[in-house]
Amino acid sequence: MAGLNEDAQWIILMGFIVSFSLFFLAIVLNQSMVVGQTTAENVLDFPKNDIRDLRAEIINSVYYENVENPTIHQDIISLALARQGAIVSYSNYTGNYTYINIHYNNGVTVYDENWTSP
Amino acid sequence: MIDDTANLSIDFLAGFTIFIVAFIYVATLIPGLLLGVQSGTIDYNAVAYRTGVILVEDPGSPVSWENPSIYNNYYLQTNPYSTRFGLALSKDSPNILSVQKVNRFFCSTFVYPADYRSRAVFGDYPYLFNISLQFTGANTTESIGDILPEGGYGYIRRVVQLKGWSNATIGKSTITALQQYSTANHTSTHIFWIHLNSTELLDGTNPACTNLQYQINPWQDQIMINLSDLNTTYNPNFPLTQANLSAISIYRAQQSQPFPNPLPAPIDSFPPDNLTTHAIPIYLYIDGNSTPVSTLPQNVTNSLSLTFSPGFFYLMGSNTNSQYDTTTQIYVSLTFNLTQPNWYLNNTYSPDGYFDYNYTPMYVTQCGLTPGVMEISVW
Amino acid sequence: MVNCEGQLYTMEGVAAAIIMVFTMYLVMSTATTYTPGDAHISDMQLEQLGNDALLMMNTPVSLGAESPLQTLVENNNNTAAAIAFNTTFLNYVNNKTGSATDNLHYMASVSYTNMTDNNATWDYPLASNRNLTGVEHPVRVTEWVLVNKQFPGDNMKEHRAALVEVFLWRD
Repeated sequence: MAGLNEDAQWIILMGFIVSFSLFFLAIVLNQSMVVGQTTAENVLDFPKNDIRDLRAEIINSVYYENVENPTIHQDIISLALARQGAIVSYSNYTGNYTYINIHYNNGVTVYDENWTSP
Repeated sequence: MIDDTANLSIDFLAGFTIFIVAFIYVATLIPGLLLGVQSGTIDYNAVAYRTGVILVEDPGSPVSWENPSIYNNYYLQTNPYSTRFGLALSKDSPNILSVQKVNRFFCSTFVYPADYRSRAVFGDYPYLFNISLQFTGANTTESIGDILPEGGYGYIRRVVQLKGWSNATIGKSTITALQQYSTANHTSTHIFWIHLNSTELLDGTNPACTNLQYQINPWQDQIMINLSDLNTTYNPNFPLTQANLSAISIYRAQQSQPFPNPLPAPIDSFPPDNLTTHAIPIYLYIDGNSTPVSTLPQNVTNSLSLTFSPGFFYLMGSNTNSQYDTTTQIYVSLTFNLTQPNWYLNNTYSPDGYFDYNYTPMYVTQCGLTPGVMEISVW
Repeated sequence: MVNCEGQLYTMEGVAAAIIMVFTMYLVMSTATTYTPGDAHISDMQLEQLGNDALLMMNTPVSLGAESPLQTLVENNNNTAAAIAFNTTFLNYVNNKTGSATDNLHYMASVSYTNMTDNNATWDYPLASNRNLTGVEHPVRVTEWVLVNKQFPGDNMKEHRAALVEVFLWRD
């Protein structure tokens, strides 16, 4: 075609190669965003059994087996911190019913409960 | 000389670069929108784990879904607000399964696979699945689903326990200890009463009342009574001749102490009713026979075993009692006729007037727990 | 220098290039979702299984009785208790439906606080069916127990809370 200037096509071609490489980097970036926490990791991270077990232990010692004493209290708090990496605190009050207030925090999950005896 | 025709100016390049970067970022978000259209090959293990939790740790919805007389199949299949097929006994007892829920789940009157997909497996994609359950001591595996593929399926295995039934085994030592035999020489008709005190069993002071895995629920559980040593002579002076079990009657009353007198009319009596063709069957095995008898009277020599199937007492009469009724009391009477007057099993004149089927382990074998394993595979 | 000739050609080229590259990117992204291999799946399965097994061992058979795990921890001074723990735990974790069995290994220990050592955490081994050498990839499951015993290094027997820890792995 008359008048078409074909000079500097190399420059433009280089420009598009740069944009292709930018797109490739964009793909890599996209995939890294898709990689997040998988379902299995979520299941492992959530302390379902820890909380359930701890709660049963505290209620057993305070109410059902009724062997609560300061030693057990100290045991549970120290062991939970040392071996499970969780801060646990609980207190109980016995009137007509027994009330137990449980707090659990492992840095990711916080659990609070007020339990009343049946 | 440098030919700078067809160059792009610097400011254009700068603007274009910024535009391209912004465009790239927006473009990276678009594949995520289209991802939902793809097939569900993403995470079978997650679906298997979720199904495992629902089956093993969740009591299901609605409450008492395992009772076909409360929720029949049609209701469960069509109600939009039902249902999760959770097999756990209660939300406070995870991993402990209920026999009725297990039986109803694995019995094949539900539509496979649609009913199970919408109530146990969930998800929009039509997953194939296989759920298997086997208890220690059982030689068969209960299973729902397709045959497992060679590989590439999600899998989880859960360890469970099954709550068993209680039973009362009443032999000579129990009868003698409780003084539940008659020393009246002139009677040849003896009545043996068994009492299920629903107040004491469901609402009493025993901690088993609130721990469902140890609770005896007369409305829901199977109740088994085994009488043995029936040909033992309680009377040292007179040998025993054969006895004849002439009737079994079931009563309901509102009080248990003292023994209600007079009792209201029996809710049901055998005879005239037939034992095995009853809506919820009663199984009566006499003298260790493997075939249950269906009509009375029957001659009894040494032992008998009486089993009320789960839910039997709940459906007696026209009451609309709930499955946790704590005020209505149940009495079962067994009437024995001797050929001549003699001493025999009889607690009409004993201190309580009945044999109390309760949480005393010496007289009633309490509910036990049987370990088992459940495997769920999804692909 | 720079003049404004040929702009339309440039823009047409740019637009065509963008369309082609974008289409290629779209097709590549949706057709090949990049899910990295999930090493956590088998960990999750093992952890759930181990927790289940310990929970079942810590359930009393009848109300008011001690759970099998409580009895084992209280009487751990004899080898019969270690053998009982071994048998029970392996039954729970290795049983499958049908006749096949799995092949898992474990190492169990008990952690407790030592009151004479300023409440430091001590532990002692409870049972194992193989030693942990360091090349395995175990998961750790724990279970609380209430026991009435005198722990090693402590000075009296009383009601205490201890943590049973089990490392569980597959070969």
